[in-house]
Amino acid sequence: MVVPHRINGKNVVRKTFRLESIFDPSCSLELARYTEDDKKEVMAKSFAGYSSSRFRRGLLGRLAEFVPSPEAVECAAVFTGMPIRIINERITEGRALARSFADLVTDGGEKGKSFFAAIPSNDAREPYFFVANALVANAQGVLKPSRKEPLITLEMVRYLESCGLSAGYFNVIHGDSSNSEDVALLAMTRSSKDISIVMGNQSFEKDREVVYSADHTRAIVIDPAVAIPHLRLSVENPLSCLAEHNYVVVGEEARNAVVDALVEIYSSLDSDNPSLLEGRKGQIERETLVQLAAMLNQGIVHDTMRVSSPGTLRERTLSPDDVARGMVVEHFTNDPRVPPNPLLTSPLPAYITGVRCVPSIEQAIQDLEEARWRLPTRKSMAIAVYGNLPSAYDARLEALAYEVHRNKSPSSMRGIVHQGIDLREILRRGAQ
Amino acid sequence: MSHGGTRVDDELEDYLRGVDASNIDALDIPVDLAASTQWDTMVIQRRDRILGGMLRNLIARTKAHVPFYEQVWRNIPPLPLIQDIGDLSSIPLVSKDSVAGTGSPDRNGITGFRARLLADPSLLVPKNLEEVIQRQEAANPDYKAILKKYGGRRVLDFSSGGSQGRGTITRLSYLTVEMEAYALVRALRMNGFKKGQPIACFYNDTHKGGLQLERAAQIMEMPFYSKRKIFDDLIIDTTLGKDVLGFQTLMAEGESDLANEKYGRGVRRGIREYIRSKKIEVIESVQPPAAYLRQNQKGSALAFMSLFEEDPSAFDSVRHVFLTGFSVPRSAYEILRERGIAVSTTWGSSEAMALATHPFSAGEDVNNLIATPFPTVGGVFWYREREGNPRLVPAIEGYEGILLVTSLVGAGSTYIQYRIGDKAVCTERGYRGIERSNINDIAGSCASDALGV
Repeated sequence: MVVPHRINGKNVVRKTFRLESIFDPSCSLELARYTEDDKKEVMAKSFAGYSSSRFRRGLLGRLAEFVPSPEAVECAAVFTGMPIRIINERITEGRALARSFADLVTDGGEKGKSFFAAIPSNDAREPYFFVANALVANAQGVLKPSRKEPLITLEMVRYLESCGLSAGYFNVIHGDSSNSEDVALLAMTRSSKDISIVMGNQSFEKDREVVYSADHTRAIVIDPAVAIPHLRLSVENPLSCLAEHNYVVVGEEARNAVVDALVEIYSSLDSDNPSLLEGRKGQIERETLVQLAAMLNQGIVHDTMRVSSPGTLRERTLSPDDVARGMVVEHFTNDPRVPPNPLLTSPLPAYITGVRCVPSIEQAIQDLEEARWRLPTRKSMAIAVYGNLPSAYDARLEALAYEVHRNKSPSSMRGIVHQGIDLREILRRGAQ
Repeated sequence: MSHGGTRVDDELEDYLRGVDASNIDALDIPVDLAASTQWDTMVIQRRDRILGGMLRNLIARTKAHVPFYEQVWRNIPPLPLIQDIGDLSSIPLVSKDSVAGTGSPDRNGITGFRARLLADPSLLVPKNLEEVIQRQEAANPDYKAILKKYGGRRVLDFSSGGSQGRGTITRLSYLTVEMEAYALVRALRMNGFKKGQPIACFYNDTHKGGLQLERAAQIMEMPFYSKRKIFDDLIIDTTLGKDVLGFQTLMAEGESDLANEKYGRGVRRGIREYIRSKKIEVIESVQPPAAYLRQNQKGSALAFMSLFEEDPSAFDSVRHVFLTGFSVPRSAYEILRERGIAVSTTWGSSEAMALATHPFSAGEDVNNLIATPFPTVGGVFWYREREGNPRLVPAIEGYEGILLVTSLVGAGSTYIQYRIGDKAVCTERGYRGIERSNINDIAGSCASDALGV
């Protein structure tokens, strides 16, 4: 299959590169490379024409009806390793999201910012979320889907054009990120826009760029009774970038309660047949599991990490398969003169939940501040606080993440993807 | 000075009979006795007491003359309690790099000494190094002949461990380097190397590993073709000289991708022709695992299997391939063994040589190593600090742990319970699966040099 760009209302392919699925090398795609001529076409038309608020509301209604082709869904499953069932669930949620966004379109129709957006592959709601926000904000620009999931966004834009969206309102481009020419041309295209938004874990971050770091959502737990009802949601939705993977818990008693609750959740998920977690987690690249096992084993031998659950894995050398099954791992506040625990700073691929017990709220904030400097991005995407956090900490908390969720999990926001992130304001007004 | 097998074994026994074996200082041992297989075959309890005595003496003089260790060792047991090499577990570890996540706000974590060592390359060197060298020379009547082999340099500097930051200097007396070369001879004999077999070695002689492999070949009377010689001969004698020169130039400019693309095939063809024409029987090289090569394409240019798989027929004379720098990939040793080529490895580093080796008796897995204690000893430990004071606990057999190495000589940069950055699994007789905690951390090593990266 050849996957073209969608530029100014036309499918465009000048050169291609081959991409094989890491999970099934017999499956491959030919994706369009991004050439100088492609760039010229994209940049030739800076404004696709005014769209009234009424028209955009209508389009959001049509977006709510969009269902990608079975081919696109299967391609997403093969290349991302996610179960088809999960992808379809996310598409249903994405459609509901689009429907709900129609209420957010305000009359007036002030033109939003031009944008370049990198759409990740981890969640099929992402294209719906992004396009819906762009329509609300009346923002036009370039969508660059992940090479692991290039079809849903492409089909979505073609569909919206068939519903009357102006050609070039959204352009969809691909490109070979291992080719320096493509990378340079993509960078030029990105710089030509008012704002660049990366929905995922990529590491470029400059002025006019907003990067949501998908894998660093954390929570501070002051009152476990408030937190515990929310823990299951994160563990059960490991592929959501808003799922919390790290809990910094204040006080021993709170820590014991949180660990006990997590252990119970993991045990209950694992005991189903097939386990609920198995059905929801998707495949992880073997190399990622190997690296994570190496990191955890290093932590175990240096006493910086301890596996709380499953109990059978305590104090023994972990294999990549152990890691794939999921676990609860404790880590600890360290000597500030050494680098922070990598469990707090590394992206955890969904099936590991970290717990750190700290003696005070101040220590919790300090630990997260120390960890922030090691992140590839300026801030985490979201942080949750469960319990009563004195307002004296508000400013420091807001410096840690784009969104702070108090006594509610980011995962419980309506549709579990960037819901709490006010992307439409960013698309309206630019990065602050 | 003899260095044939059984004679040196007899000499070691004679030596041990003539001294208080539980109170030896390694400085007083003739260097060639490191080649004795008795170190590996004597009764373990006896050996452990002998090595324990060496450790005690090493600690005593290090405490007196290396201020760095004086600070680290505030709480170690009194010296008379160090009787057995197993008492190493009561000696705290030292590490060039800090270990993330260790310690607490109230207690020091494992903080590295790299910055201090960069500022002062003599940080780990005894202040009385000259006296130490003279003591070694007193134990080696033919020290002048040995000194000539090292170009008259009594102290040699080697670069090590540039992966986590800038590389540091390991400074050793020439007699330490020579003693380690004899220990390497012992390991290579266990690997199956035989006198007279021509060797092609792809390690650079500016690295300690490359230097010691060459010296070991001289001791074992094996004709030796270094990478330098091979490349020089190819430049002069063959039509592929242009490729070799081009390759070297681009590599020196940091253009390793281009070097491989433009000249890699030609260089590899030249090397194969050389191996064929010289009827090389032993090759000493590097084969990184697939995971490393995926991250470092440039490392594939001179990786051994790249050389081999392009034309296996060029290796008809080869009986033995020695691969080090990484765990040996199973796929590599299975392919080579299918062609009747023996595969072995020995673990060593700029800081300490040789820790362990794979002799035939160690079974099918090439990465299953037998410890070769003296002058280097090691252990696999867990670091524990969450309950109680920081301490080292010997890892349970079969479990992965932190590899710590100690050179019992201490005539130069002194490494005692040194956390080298490798992990290992402790086995009954030695180690299994020794590898970098991060497989991409090989910058500055002789492996990186052999790969031309």
